[in-house]
Amino acid sequence: MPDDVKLTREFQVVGHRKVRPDGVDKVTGRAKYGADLILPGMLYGKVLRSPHAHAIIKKIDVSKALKLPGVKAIVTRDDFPDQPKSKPPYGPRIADLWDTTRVIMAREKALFEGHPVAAVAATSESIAKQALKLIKVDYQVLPHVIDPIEAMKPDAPILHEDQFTLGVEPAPTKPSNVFRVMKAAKGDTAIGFGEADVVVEREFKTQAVHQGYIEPHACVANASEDGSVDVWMSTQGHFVARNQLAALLGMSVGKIRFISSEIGGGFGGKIPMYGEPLAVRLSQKAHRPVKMVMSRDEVFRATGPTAGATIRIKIGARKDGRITAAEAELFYQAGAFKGAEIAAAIGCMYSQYDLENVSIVGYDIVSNRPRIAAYRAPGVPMAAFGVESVLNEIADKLGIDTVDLRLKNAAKQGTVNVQGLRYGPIGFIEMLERVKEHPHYKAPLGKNQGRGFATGFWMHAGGLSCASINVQDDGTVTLIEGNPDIGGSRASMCAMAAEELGIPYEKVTTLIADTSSLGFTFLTAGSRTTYATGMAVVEATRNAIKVCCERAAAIWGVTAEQVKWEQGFAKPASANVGDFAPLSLSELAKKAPMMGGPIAGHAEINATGQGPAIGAHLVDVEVDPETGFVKPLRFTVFQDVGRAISPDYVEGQMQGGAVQGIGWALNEEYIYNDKGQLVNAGFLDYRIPVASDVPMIDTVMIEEPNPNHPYGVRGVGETPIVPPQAAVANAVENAIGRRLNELPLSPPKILKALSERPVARAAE
Amino acid sequence: MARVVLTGEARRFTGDVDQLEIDAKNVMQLFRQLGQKFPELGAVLEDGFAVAIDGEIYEDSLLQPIKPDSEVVLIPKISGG
Repeated sequence: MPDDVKLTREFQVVGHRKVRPDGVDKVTGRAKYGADLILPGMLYGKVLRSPHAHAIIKKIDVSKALKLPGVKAIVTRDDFPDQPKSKPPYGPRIADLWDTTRVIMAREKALFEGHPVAAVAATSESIAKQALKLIKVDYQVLPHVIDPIEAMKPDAPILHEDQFTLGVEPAPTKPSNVFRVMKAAKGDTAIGFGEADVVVEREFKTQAVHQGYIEPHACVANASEDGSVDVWMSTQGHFVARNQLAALLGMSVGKIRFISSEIGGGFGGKIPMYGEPLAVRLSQKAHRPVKMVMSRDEVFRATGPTAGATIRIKIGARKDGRITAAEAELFYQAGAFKGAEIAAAIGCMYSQYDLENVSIVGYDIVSNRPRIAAYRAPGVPMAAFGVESVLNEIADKLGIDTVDLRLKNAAKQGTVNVQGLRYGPIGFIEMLERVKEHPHYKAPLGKNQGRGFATGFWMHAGGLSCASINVQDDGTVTLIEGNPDIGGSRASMCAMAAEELGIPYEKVTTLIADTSSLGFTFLTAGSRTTYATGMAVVEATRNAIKVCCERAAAIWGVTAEQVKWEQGFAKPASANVGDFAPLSLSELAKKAPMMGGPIAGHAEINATGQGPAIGAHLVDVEVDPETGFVKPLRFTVFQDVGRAISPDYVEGQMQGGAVQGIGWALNEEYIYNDKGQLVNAGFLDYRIPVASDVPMIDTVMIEEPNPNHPYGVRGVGETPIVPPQAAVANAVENAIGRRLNELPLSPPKILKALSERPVARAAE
Repeated sequence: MARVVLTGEARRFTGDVDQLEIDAKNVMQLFRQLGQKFPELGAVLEDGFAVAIDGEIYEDSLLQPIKPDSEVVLIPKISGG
């Protein structure tokens, strides 16, 4: 966008700490989340879920349930049109409606425990639950497979009989749970390993982990007899949800209106739809609004975690620390339907390093678990865990400081990654130098304590965003945009508009439009919102300022080009224009009704130029040798944020990623019984970190403004989840002298490792 | 003529071809010509790929100009959480 990039001047609002405009309602309980909406005559929807991990659904009998007083509608697979099955060729991104319609409601088979089989709408939640018990489902139970490596074996139960592995030669003749094999390479790793003085090859394993948003999925659907429907939903992207619902149900986009509620966390997990199509169909059948709210149990059993993975890493380096070759094999669990996030892992896992010889192979594997959903930097943290762990080991073997090893191999301007992408300025070397200068890096450690370091790379998204700005009669401003506010984005939108207009932050209010009130706006995801929608807000505001200048010009009898906008006032552009008293926004707004109408500005953009982001995490832990308990003591997150429009909320993103990474590294995992049923579907047994589990997460925001954004913004939300798993594991290894390559690093694993001999180090 | 670099997933559809020169004034023309040379790639370009033109990433930007001496790299579209 900008040829007038504002990267150097002092700002009045941008970059200052401010109270978020949605804060008061959220802390007082007034804010309306997904479950808070109540409509007249509203029914309550509940879902019957498969108790089996893998079973043919022979028959569903709802007759008894329908007779239960208070039951108003029931839907099953027969209420949803089937979708054509997609066929090769497949691009890197999978969007297969055949799969999606089976995610929301099982058809031929139940493919995971918790798979929806039927849904009921009743006058109360308790009646709906009673009705579920009256639905008779005739299953033919099939053998199941949970672990993706087991699912690859020739004798594994096959989930989809028509799935033949793509990307291998010769083309297979038997169906497989491996959907496809993806590859990327650069240079020749055989030559590179031949030049290495040290080669480390290790296998790592990570577990599926849930995004852990506090607010469960919730929606209300209200269908009209005229064919239209309104849907209130807790979502990361109501425009995307609207389009998908239209495709799934064969409806016109223009007949569907989605309204996003406040959202209590998403992290990628609230991109997919689950209950919304069911609620819409129930509402259409019952002719009444239907609310559906998941329990925590349902969230765990039926919504996407991120993939568990097995990762094989092989890296060779010369004695001076220069990496000569790097390989990886990635075995990613996709859940019951194809689409593991392999492409992102391939594109990011080695991309902060300047490597000549790289080869990566990734396997997209289905098994009898819920379909995965995005989770902050989807697909990358698992691969980074392997890479950064091996680099730690190489540094140890060579007796090189772990940050120096990264410095020796750091990508810089002009580096070309494995995908062929040539970088502009990326600031990795500067960040590593900041790490070495930080007091944390040299702080002394106590007994049973260790320090770990890791870095991570992520490629941000841009995309479609729209914004409208309306100047009210008194000079206050209403800003309308289309991204649900998860992490404080409204504050940043208000700030950028206020900065452009030269008015106080408090005079701008930001609203999230419904899907019928604004042009298509892509997801609140991919670390794109402040970047892309921020661009749209700036452009819309500048268009409103243009109107202000035209009005001032008309008042003064000069041309619009002779008027400039400066710190909230229209002023003559030069002394030659004339001696006119500046006109404020509120003065112009007051005259607006008599000068052609209200002052407004609009923008509809496709944001580009976002670029990559790199972070580095430094963590100290203490390991209790008697219990195996790992306590994080100190954690510092370094990240190039471009410019922090709202520093508090940028720091919050960095801290949140670190905390989620600590949970991923130390506690979180799905535990299945021998029937393929999840046995820890609740926060008591699936242990996410709470405040008392973690230290204060310190942040070092490095601000190298992105020249492609009017205020220098880069995304910040996803990079912080990439390094912490490896950083924590490296710290544990440093504390106990034993390497653990399987997450989570739970106390039993630590105690087992402590019973084994410590690893030898070059420095010892 | 712009130099088009094909790696990873794009290379899957082009056999041994890892780069070629194409006379295209914008991304739409580029995609059209790539689709003529490699029909399977052409079928997935718009939905599956972004382009990096001289290191700058453009996604869903069919009208983005390409200079005659530009380097264009096809990369998988960026997702996120």
